[in-house]
Amino acid sequence: MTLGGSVTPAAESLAAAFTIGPDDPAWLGDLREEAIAGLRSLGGLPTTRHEDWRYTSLTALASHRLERARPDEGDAAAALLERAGSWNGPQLVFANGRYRSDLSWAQGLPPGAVLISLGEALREVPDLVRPHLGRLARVDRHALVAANTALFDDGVLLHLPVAGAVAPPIRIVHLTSLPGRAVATFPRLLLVAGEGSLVTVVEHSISAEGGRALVAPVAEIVLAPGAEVNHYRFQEEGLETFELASLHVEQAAESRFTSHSLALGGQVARAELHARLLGERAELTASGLGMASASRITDAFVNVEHVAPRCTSTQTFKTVLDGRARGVFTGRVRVAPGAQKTSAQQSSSNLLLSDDATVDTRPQLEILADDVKCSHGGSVGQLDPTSLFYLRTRGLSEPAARSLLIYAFAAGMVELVRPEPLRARARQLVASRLPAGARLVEAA
Amino acid sequence: MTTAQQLKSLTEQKYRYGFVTDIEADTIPKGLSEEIIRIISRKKGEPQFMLDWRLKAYRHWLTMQEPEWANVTYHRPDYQEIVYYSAPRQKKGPSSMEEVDPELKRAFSKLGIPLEEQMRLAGVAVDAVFDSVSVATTYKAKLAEKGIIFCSFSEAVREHPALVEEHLGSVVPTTDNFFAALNSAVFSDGSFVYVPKGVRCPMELSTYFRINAKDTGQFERTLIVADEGAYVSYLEGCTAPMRDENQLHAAVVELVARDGAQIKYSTVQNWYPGDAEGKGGIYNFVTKRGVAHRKSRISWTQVETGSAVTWKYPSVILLGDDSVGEFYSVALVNNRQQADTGTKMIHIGRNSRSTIVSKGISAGRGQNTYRGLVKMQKGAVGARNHSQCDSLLIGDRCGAHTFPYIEVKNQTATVEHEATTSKISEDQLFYCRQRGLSDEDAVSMIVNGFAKQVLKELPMEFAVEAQKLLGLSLEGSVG
Repeated sequence: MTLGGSVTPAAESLAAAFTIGPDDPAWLGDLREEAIAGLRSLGGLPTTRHEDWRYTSLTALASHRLERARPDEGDAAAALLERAGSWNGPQLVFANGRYRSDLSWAQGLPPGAVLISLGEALREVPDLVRPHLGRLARVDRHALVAANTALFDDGVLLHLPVAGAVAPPIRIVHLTSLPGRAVATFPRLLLVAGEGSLVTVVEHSISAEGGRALVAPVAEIVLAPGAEVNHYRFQEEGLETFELASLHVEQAAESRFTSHSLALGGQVARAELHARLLGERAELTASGLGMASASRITDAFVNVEHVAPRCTSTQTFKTVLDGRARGVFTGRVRVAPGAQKTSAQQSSSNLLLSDDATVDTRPQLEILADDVKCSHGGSVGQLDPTSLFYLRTRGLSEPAARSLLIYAFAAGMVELVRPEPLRARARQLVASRLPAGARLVEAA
Repeated sequence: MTTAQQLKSLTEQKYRYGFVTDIEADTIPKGLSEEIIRIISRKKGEPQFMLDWRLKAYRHWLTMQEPEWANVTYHRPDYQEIVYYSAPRQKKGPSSMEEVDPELKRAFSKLGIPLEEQMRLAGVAVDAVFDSVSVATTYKAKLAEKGIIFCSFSEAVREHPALVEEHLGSVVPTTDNFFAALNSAVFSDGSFVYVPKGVRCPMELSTYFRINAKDTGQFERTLIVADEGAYVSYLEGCTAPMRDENQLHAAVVELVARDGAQIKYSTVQNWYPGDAEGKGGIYNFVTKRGVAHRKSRISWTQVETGSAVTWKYPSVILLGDDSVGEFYSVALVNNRQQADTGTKMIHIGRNSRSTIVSKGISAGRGQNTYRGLVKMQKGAVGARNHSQCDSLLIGDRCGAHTFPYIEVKNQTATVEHEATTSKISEDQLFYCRQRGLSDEDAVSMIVNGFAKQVLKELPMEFAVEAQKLLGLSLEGSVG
């Protein structure tokens, strides 16, 4: 199948790679057809002429012909997994988009909980998947969601049907090994949290260096009344990888959702969150830290719709930019008519370490109800020379003083990572990007 | 009365400037073509360079699309149904106040700007633009003593063609945007100010705009040049009669502040906003921009209470080192008014500074949008910006939206943006009423308090008028 018009090689090759899997049920085949049609009608991958992509150019990706990543059955995946550190709880590992049962295990789950690969789910429990897959992540609105839906090889189903079920933290690792060609993988997650259930999910993506890749994960998360879901995205992709992730969330009354992302790698790292607060007193907390240097882009995009009254949303995003890097934040809060007593906060803080780094930030409020408390704030600045001077007078070298101040700026975002092994890894990774980071880690 | 009822009654107030003045007008046929542009240029006795400039703008306009990105919905005007030139018919230009058509003078008195009054008491020099042509310029002699030129645009084209040719389009090029291109092609008059080197303009300069004739659009053009070290404060006010159909107002304002100069530009915009159902009213699609050279200061202050649809972003290009840009705005929408307004601060010079204070008030079914850009270019070492956007909602059917864009390419630049949204609470109203204030006074007081930071930037005479306007525009809406 080909795309018409002035479509780039990347989008063209994705469309050409389209086949309906032999195991796909008929309804999924239809959805995939619809998705590839969506990708076509959206004109392929977004360009900076799309308002939502104004500051994030995919030109460097668009000129490549992308291949669907081949299965990686070897030891390369296991070696990459080492980098993710140890994990005691349930874990699902995917290598080049395929489930690796040899590296995964799921024990300690509460009764009734389902944690299986999407492929298995489609064979064994398709009725758990069908009502939700593609419902929140619409294939007619978003080119990367369309590409993911048309082309995902596998993914994760997490279903917590029992009221009040408490699951241990679950880790999902996406590994991409690069065979020297430009490859694309499309991780997928479907999470349905029952009434009053509680779960923490970590999506950790790691790719090898030395090749161009597109990693385009899509997650759909449905929260029943009173459910609590904490989602972490921990991204340490290779420096030529484009990770373009989107998270689609729907919240019922009194549910709580937190999304926290640490974007430390990638040529272009974009994390989108689209959330609809449908029930009263739902709470959403979104936060993230992006660090970039050279000519890389780190982009956080948040779109929250307050549909029901008395909901709360908070967005806190930080970037640290060096070299010719670009940091982008778009935060949109829409308060629908009748969503009274809404409380929404947005904040975007940016630290520029070089003369060539760029920040583009757009905190946006659309308010159609009158009894609301909404605010947003944005700031861009450099390291405070007075603080630097103070640290120098205390005997710290210039790099050490700078590192300490940068770390101080980023630390709040690191400490928001709750699961302990992950937090330690976050500290280490943030510190390793600082000039005198090694000493900081020792001190901590 | 309940709070809701009080709000309602307070926002349902009528537009009081909706009269039509019966003056014979010299009008050309409807529509837009090269021929019409030639007629306008001929009628105004313009030199060749002006005609060429207009035609260039028109030809570019033909290739452009009407912008759709603004957060407003309206029926696109039919550009062939607009009369592009309408002038009050007079035998020849007035040489003194006595010669001005008495009917016209009465119209201006109704608007609250008796020319003589202002000449004597306020010491304000007024240039009044009626439909498209400048009618009378007061206080000219006194200004001439200091070398200040304050005249209608047509006169400037005739008397000072070199100055006009040098600066016209230097800040807002003909190709800038759809409405600016249209304006460049057809503008019929406006004001021109030139303040020479080191001169401090001794009085506030003021222009009053009024659309009177039916089916006309108003396309005025203002150009203010403050030479090195000069200072000028300029005020504009706008009203229009009540009509069922929408009329288009597409103005262009260009400010040039040379090294060390200061320009303060204040607007009180009260075009007819349409009736409560959103019928009629002015489309106010305006391009305003200033260039600030080294150590100069440009300050925009606006109180926007009128117009059915507003599309307006007074901007400053901070070109010179140590230049300063300021934007103070109060935008009020009621009934079915829509406003998409804000500013752009483009920092190019080192240590340039800008301040943005925007206060949006939404009532009835009004939709108010702040849209602003703060851009720190690579060379803007040590540049600073502080932006503050506050919204006040009155009633539950209106909307307040904020779309700030911040683009920073320099690590030493500091940018801060804050925005809040709130409503008039029952507690506040209750407290005021307990102290013996009527509902209307209470709301007016709260709204004025909300807008105070901006109103204090206005020259005295305007501040009083603006406060009254805010009260008036809200009458009938509070709770």
